[in-house]
Amino acid sequence: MRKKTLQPAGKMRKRQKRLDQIAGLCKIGLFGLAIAVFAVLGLLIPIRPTTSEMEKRQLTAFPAFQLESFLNGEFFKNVGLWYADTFPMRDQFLAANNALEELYGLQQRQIITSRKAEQNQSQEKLPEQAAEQSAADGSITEGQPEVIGDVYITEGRAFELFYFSEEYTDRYCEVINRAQERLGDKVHIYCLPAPVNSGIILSEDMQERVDSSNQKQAIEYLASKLDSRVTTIDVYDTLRSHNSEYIYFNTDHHWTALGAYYAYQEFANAKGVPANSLDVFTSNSYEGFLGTFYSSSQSEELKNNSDTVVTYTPLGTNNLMLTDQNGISVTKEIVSSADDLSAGSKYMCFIGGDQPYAHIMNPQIQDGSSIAVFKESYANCFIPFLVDHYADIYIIDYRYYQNDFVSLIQENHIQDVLFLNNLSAINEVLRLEEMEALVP
Amino acid sequence: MVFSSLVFLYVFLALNLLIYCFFARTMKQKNVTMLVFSLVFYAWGGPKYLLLLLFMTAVCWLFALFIESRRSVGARKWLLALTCLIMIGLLVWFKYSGLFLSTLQGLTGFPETIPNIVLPIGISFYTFQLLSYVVDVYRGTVHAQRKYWLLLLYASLFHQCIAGPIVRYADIERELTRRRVSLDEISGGVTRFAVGLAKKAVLANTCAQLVDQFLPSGADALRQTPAADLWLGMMFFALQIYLDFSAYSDMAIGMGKMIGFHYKENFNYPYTAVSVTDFWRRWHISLSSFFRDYVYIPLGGNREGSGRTVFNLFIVWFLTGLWHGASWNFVLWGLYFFLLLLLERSVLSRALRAAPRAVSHIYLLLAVLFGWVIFYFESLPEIGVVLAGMFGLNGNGFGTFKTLVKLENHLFFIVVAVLAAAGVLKKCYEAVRRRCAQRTGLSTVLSIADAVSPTLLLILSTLALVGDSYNPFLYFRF
Repeated sequence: MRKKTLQPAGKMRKRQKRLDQIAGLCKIGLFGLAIAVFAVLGLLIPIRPTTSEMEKRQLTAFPAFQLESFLNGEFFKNVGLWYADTFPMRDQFLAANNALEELYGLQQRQIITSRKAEQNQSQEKLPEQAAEQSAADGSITEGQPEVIGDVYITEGRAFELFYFSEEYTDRYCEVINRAQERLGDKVHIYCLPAPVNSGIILSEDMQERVDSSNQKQAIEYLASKLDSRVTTIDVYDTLRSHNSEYIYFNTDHHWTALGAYYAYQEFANAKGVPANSLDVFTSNSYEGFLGTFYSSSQSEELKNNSDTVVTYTPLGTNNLMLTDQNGISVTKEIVSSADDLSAGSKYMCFIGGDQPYAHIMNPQIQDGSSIAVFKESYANCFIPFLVDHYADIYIIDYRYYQNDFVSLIQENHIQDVLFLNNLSAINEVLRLEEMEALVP
Repeated sequence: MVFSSLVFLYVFLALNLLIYCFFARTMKQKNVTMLVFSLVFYAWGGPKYLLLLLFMTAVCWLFALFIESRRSVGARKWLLALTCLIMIGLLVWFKYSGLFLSTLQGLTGFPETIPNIVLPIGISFYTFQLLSYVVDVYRGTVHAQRKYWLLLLYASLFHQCIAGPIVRYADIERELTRRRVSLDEISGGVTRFAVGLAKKAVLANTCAQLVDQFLPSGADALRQTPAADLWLGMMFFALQIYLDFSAYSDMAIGMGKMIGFHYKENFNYPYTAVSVTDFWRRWHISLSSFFRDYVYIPLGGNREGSGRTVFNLFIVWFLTGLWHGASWNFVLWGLYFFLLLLLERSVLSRALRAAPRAVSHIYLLLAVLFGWVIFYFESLPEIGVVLAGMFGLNGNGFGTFKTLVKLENHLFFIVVAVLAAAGVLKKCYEAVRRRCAQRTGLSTVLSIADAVSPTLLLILSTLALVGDSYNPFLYFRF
């Protein structure tokens, strides 16, 4: 009896042992094969990427050899960094990893802290020129990414959180006051601080819960600090009253052209001219826009809620002359088609993207009126509405423009100046330093 | 180079295994392969420090031979003392002179400038390995190694040279010249390595990100942080440091097994301990046993009266703390455990034994967690702010909406990380294996899973590693 029960057990153990052996062999073989495949992949240097479209940055370059950096280990460290950073199929691997990370928890709402953005910021940014060139072949087209702070994601929409700084707001106002002082009474300065989407779309209660500062109060404080000659255009209440409309993107930190239009109406009011109605413009729309919030969070929720870029082409002219960072001047369309732009860069269809300097001449207006716009990218979809009110529009992106802003206005006898900056930029020290450099 | 880097996995290790398995035929060729790779590995972190490693090994090699050839106890003792003086002197010079001089400067204003001495990678680990070797030769428990290059192989072996475990010469003496591998062992080594890699690349690195999200830097920012964030931040740090460090040991043990080296276990699920005494039997075992065998017992251990025992324990824990880094908070951390151990020895141990397991377990987790506060923050003011904040004394409330959202986003991850750190995942796997062994159909399925899983883990880890080019092992500073 006993033998009978033992025998099958013994057989089973034998079988198990053989199975284990085969499994062991397969395991070692598979593992070795996987290492070999990745090793060979890593050797395919020609297919290593040099830029990452997903992260919108230049990847680490192979380090130059120096005796000192060799001896202290710096050289090898950078070789390792280069090897990992430019690993073939990097973006595909990143996408797969992001998909896996979605499984870490419940992702219906998220708060993305600026860690990722900070990391990217310290990395070398894609030069504008490279972006311009590759725009044609449809690869990297974003250009200079802006630094995104903390982002709150809920129900497929991302919101940029706003942190008020009294010190920075004061410094911003001093920039404008200084300009007014130097330009004197003849030049009329308008200041249009653009709210970021959290302040307009989220309820006040929600803004408080995510620690986002009150933007209405921020604008009111700002207005109180400006020279009495400066006209502040407070668009907060107007935008808020339209907040059920598509005035901010879901996946990008900019307002839409519609949001910019409501701000433009307020501007026209302040200037005392009638605003054009929206129906007079030719409108186009481009689907499938995945903006900066998507690229910094890689959130599936956002990916499934991509944006549509709607454009309104100005009446008088659709041409502008821009000067890029290399000082080369070209003629571009004020509002161009976004069909050929990649999913991440459709916002570039407005005024040729972020360029140091651009000039629009409207041949339909002969009264010699002129305005200078001191801006970052929020103004890009606003400017098309301005075109039909001025003979000349001078556009200065303070992040890239190198000369004195006030001299530009004086030399061209410009009458109006518009500071159109978003609240995040106003409260961000890097941006402020750039502004201060232009208005010393 | 860290184990969890793509260049290590797919250039260094790939080449190493290729040459070792397919080109090196004799044991000597295999050893030369390992030595060359180890030296390259070490030089990767700064070729000039390789000279120090070569020199320190040479000192120990020579003095061990001298010690063995002398009959007189006095001469042997002097030679040993001289070796220790040189080795510890070099360790102190490279690792602690900055700390000692800046402390002196703080107290007396002298010296005016503090030389900037860079810590050579792994010096804390290989100094201890070499010291244990010389002491063992002195004690007669091992023979002195006649061949310099074999001793160098022991000290520099890339598996354990720069982040442990602290392998004793006696443990691998035979295997330096005679090692055999079986299919079972290679297969076990592969699994162990892959598990370690995933533990580091997926679990520990994500925990590190969470620590950063919950614990801002600087005392001012910490003062504004709500209590729940501090607790969670410290909890993730506790997970991170264990997963990180034990992952390194897993990978070392796994790579050793692949080629026939057997390193002792360095961790035994320390967070399942029920007392601090128990914890230190399970945490960084190779370090605590080093201090036990080469400091505590030579000092007399617990055999020379209770006063002397307390003194001996004090020395051991002072040194254990200091070993972890050139900063006084580590000493404080060591002494914190010294006090807890004294407490357990005198009063607590009976109470802990009598208490339900859950109670003593919670006691241990809290004790260790507060320990990590002292360990993580290097300045006393920060430690004070965080401890106060954990008890809600900074007036920031319990938690915020952000705390909740961050938790939601990582809910499943946290469960997996905690189960992994508590050893539950491993136990489940073993239980399933036992059950399945009785049923033929299931056991086939299990064998397939077993064969495929290391490769899957490797792929998962690779995906995770592509995304972060920056992931230094925590224990590199030691």
